[in-house]
Amino acid sequence: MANKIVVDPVTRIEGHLRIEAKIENGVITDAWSSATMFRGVETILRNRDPRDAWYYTQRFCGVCTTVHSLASIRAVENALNIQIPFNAEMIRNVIMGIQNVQDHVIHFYHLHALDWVDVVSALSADPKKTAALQQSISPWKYSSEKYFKGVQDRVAAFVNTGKLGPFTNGYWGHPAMKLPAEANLMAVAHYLEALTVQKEIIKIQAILGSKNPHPQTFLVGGMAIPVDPNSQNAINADKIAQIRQYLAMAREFVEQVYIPDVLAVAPFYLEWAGIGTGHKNYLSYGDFPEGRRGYPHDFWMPAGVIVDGDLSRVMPVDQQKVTEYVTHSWYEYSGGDSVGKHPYEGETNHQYSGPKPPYDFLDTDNKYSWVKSPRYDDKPMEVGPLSRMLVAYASGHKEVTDTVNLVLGKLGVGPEVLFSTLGRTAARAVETLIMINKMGDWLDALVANIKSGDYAIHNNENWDPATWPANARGFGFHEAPRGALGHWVVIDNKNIRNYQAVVPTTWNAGPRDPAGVRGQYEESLIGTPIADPQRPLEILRTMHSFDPCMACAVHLYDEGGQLISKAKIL
Amino acid sequence: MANFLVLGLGNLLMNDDAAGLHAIYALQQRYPDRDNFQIIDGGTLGLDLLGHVAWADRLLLLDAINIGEAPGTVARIAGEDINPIFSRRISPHQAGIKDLLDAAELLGDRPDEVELLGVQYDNIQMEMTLSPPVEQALPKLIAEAARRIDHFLHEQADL
Repeated sequence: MANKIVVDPVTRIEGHLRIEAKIENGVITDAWSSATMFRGVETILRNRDPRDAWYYTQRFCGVCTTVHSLASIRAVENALNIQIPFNAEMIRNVIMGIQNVQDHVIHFYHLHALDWVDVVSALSADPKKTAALQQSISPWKYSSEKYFKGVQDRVAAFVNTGKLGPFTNGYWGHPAMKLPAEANLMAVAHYLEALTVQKEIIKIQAILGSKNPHPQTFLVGGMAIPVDPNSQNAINADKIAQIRQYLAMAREFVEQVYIPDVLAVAPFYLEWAGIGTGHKNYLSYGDFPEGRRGYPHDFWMPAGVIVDGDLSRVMPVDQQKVTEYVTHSWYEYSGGDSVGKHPYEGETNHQYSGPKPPYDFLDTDNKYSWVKSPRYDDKPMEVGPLSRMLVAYASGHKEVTDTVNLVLGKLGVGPEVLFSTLGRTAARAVETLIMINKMGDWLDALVANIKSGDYAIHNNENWDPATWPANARGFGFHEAPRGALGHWVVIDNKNIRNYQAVVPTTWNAGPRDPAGVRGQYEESLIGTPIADPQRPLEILRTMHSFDPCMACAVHLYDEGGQLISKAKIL
Repeated sequence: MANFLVLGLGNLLMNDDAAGLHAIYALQQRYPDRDNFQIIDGGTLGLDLLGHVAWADRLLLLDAINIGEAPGTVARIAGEDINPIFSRRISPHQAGIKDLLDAAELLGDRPDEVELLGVQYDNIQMEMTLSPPVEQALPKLIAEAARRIDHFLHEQADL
């Protein structure tokens, strides 16, 4: 007997995602992913100066400011054929690197962990046994019985005030929750520690970006922050030393808390290494250029495409093979909705044809999402840390291969388990570890270069529009925390004529294409067992493993019916 | 010494939703940051603002709101009334301001005083123009915020 359930909104994500799933005999047999909020910011960029585009793209998404700035300046630099100085490249690497580390820590502890960790159960844990557990898995400094008792009291006091806060909507006591009470308490303690750590380590961006929380340091052709060993306001020895302190703090947390937690929790949930697979097609644009040739050469994190889970073959990425369909999206294309468009020719003409709210179900036979369906070589692709780790692993990247093998060895499983919900979560942890261990190298390269007397931070050769061709176009890629991010810009007579962004969540969350092939979220849910259709925790686990970001970035307070708050009219 | 944070919220690209940010930009021209006083454009960020919010003892939020009043109406929400309006908001951010304040509270760092000055929005389509009533209300929003800032700075001077 088929039964259709709706999860709307999927909680603990950025933005608004809706999942409809068909369940037969306790297992998902079909699924539809929909973004029910319109996100059409590209039109705002039309006719603007391309050098200013990053300032606007920074506000595309509610939360991912840095990544859109970076993809944008890279697109314009690509269009205008600008190579940036080595110092600027290394600074960008450090900014991107810490963004990845911070985002992954937030994702694991604040958006994903509560799918596996039962906060209510943590309240009944024995602090003494929790201390013993902590001491058995890592040398982390906070491991006393007194400490865990303190955490337990603090969380209990918070919950007793009646406002669950971030713990609202948790499926406490769900049969799919498997951790012992002590592991739950340990994880809740780390949830709190991670809040503190993430707010400290991101200060690296303020040091390099001069203005937090929206970085003002990006500049087409390089970076805006000067390099000058003798200036207080420039990058100098003091600032480098501060950055190193934050890196050390991040590294301690990742090595002693994040990784041990993943290794401690995973054995209780090993069945999730066989759930949530998807199409097994993976795309990484590659990132973190390390050489003197600059972007897009000499990537530390390699580019590549893997099809059908075949790790023996990594294909090169060709941006011309990217297209977007709107067959099942609330847009209209000038040439008809069944033909895909490359982003240079991309269009954002929205045309809502879905049911009038409130409704029970979307019309999933026709259009049902605000997200388009991107395809690479006409195939759906998964993007994100798992894609990056698989491409790197299959390419023989040493740090990735060693770390992945270490984790697989500790769990006693083979690489085939990576194609899964658990694999996605483990890949994100692996990436965080190798990233934080790598970042010092980029800082060292920057320092050595400055010491050699090279203070260049901006290439202004093609800054003046008088030097530009009448028509130009370019693409800018960035491997953002959530995956492959691409911006495409078309410049006519010094101004932007077309601008399209294909963001990581579009790759993962898109609906079906004209051939009826499911998007990545949709495919990954097939075969997932659902213990209790009223509380579909299992759907959340797989959705969260992708780290969805639907943030279409409106940010308003709304009474949603009756206003309880008393507003005093001024 | 108490720390005072004035935090503008909203999306710069969504017409009236940017009202709080426009107010912030005007205030930044008038009031330079001090050791215990900051004016920040928070955009639509969530947890990324935790460092700033945890630093503050007193928090003044400026934002576009929907309270069913005429567009351009300026309103104040404070004290016990702050929590419901945050929890009932319809925002694409699940990890928005409410979670931010909850996180600060869990860390024992929630500001002692939280106050929201809002302006009723009219149009939040994806463009960059304020609707006339909201545009006309901006000076009032700015003046209300400025009054609180002046008061704070005078208190500091008296200490």
